[in-house]
Amino acid sequence: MTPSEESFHLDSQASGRQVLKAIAARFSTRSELLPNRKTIYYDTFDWRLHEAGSVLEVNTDDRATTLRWQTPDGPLRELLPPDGVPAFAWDLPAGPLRHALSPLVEMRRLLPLVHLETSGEALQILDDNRKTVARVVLEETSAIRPDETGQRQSLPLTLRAIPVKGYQKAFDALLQMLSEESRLEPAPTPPLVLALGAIDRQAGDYSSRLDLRLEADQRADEALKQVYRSLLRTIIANEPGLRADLDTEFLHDFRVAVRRTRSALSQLKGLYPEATVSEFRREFNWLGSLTGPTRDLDVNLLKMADYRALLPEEVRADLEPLTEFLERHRGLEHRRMVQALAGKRYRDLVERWQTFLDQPPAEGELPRNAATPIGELASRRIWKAYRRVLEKGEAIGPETPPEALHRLRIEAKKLRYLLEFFRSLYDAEGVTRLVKALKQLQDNLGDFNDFVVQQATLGRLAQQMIDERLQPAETLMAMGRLQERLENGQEREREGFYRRFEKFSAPGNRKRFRRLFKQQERPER
Amino acid sequence: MKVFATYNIKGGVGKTATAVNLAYLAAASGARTLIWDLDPQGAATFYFRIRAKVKGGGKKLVRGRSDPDSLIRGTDFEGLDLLPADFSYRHMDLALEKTKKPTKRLARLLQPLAAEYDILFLDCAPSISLVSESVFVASDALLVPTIPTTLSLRTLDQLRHHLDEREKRRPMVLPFFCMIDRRKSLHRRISDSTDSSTHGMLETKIPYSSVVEQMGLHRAPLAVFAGRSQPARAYEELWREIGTRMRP
Repeated sequence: MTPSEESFHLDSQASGRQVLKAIAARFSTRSELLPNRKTIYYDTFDWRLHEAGSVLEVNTDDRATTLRWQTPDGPLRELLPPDGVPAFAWDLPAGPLRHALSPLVEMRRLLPLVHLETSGEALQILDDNRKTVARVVLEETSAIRPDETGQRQSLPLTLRAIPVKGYQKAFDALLQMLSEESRLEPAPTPPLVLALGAIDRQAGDYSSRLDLRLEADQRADEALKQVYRSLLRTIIANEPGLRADLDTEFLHDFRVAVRRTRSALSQLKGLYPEATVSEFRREFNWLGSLTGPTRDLDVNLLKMADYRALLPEEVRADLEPLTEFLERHRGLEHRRMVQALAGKRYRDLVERWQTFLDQPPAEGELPRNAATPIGELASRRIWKAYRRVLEKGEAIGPETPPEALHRLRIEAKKLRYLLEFFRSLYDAEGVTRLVKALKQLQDNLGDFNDFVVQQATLGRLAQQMIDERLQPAETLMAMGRLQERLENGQEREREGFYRRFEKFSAPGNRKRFRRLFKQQERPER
Repeated sequence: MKVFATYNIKGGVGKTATAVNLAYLAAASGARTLIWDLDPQGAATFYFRIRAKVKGGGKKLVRGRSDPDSLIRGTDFEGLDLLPADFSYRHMDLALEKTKKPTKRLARLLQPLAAEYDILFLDCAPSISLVSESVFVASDALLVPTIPTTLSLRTLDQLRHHLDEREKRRPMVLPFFCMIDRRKSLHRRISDSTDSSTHGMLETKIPYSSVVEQMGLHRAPLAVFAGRSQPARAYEELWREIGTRMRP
């Protein structure tokens, strides 16, 4: 194996020159022209590549544009056409890199994190045949913000020692000289971390996951404000990407945060004055329905690949008019939504909600649950939501209509949100296991519901296409075939339900729920 | 990984010059490139100032007992590596014969390199043998430097004929004229009248030039010491043309 290169930071140009001089005195060398290089680091908005312990960069010099993905299993690399900077995984040339990257990145856009501009000089270390056996590069790099400010910041001057494959001894001698003679210490920080730091960013500074630290004896009204503040941060963080339509998941995360807020407002009552709560509930409901149509069309468009795969090869192309139809409508809906989000009603909502959440704790006469310790209220609510899921789930048999499964899905979602809001109050491992079991049940219910909804949606879309006098007969026929396939899927999921529910309601999980959330009998306040 | 072999049954036609210059150009365009110098004379290895020595020799390598990766040497040029020649390669036929499925042997040895390189050049010794059979199986395209003489064209036909008779996967054959000496009337006549329609020749022609011979003096590809010379530009043109021919 080729040893990997080493980097060293230097405090000044002068000391850099000194090191180069020392190397030239010790080894036979030749100076080399070093082309200027531009590097752009990429990740998704929710840092999927960083979370996977990987780094994705595009390097451009006078020779080529190269995409490099450093993963824990080693590097992958792909040559790109000049200026062929990728936006989505599916834009990349087919090959091992795209194959490995796609399932991780999915539908998220690759966003530039930071640009680097590097220039410098190089020294080749030669053997007796005047053959290059190692390289030393002295580099100056600026980190540049990838936005209109273009804010620029110098990184420390860096000396890189680069091995040449098959000449380990020469490289070892070079490293030894750098450490013993020039007293250099290997640079401790990876370049991406350094570059992000230079533009005041930090890897992993956004996640759609709730990460709260609540205390069991906190007042419930204050603890919930903490939950709401975290959700509002997610709403605000996703707004720009949603407006700019960078990818579908900004809207998705935005909507999930809105839904969680609504769920908490309706499930955890008696914390704030009734008039205040009902006003905010009304406004968040409005926000939910405002953003619904665009999301529905996004879901349909994301499903198109699956739809194509469900149909025989020769009729797949018939779905093209449907894709175009969906894209056109989505464009219109998105514009309408963005306009509304720029309006007064939305701005007022965010501002008033923020003001409300920032108010100091209420005093005097409080609503009935406001001063209850959050640990107690959370357990009571989770236990109740859990009982309801069990009850509704146990009532489901072969004759139950699909609506009952839909209602169970809603109850399961409520329970899931509560578990996520309050997980920091309980033993983390126990909650994690319950969430996992619940998630498997939810996935089944979600897939079942998807099949039901998609069949109805396809019917509705077909009618819409006819109304708009688009009558591509082949497309309508292909959609009819799809409906059949989806019905088969629906039945499959329904059969799978009993097994999933049995697993969720197994004695082990019952015991765990009881241990974590069941309280001593006491009258509900 | 695309595999090119510079091949001709005849010797002294410019195979190594082609492999070295094209490999340099491939690497300069950003492709990770490897040359395997299969010729026991080791001319390509010499051009890159690398010692013509492979630990364990050709026998061990062919039998899959050496890790090719550990034998590879970086050249002076970033992105361009070389698997050196070894004098023992002259017995490679014998070593191959002793393996199972000898004609597929080379292709198997090259497999693990596919993740590390985009382009591989096999610089072959002149001959038609078990080694060349093995090269045909492993290659996507044979680059056949051809001197414009009647006999050379006949040899080219023989090669095509031979490949046509094989049932196995056939590499693309990309012959081109090289070492054209405009002072010789035969060279002029043949290179001007033979084209893609008659012998499937590439358009690009590499002229005879003493600059090419100086590669041995400079021990470097043309682009390094005579980048503006006529043959250096002809190799650039050739590499472009090969690129357009290889596109699916």
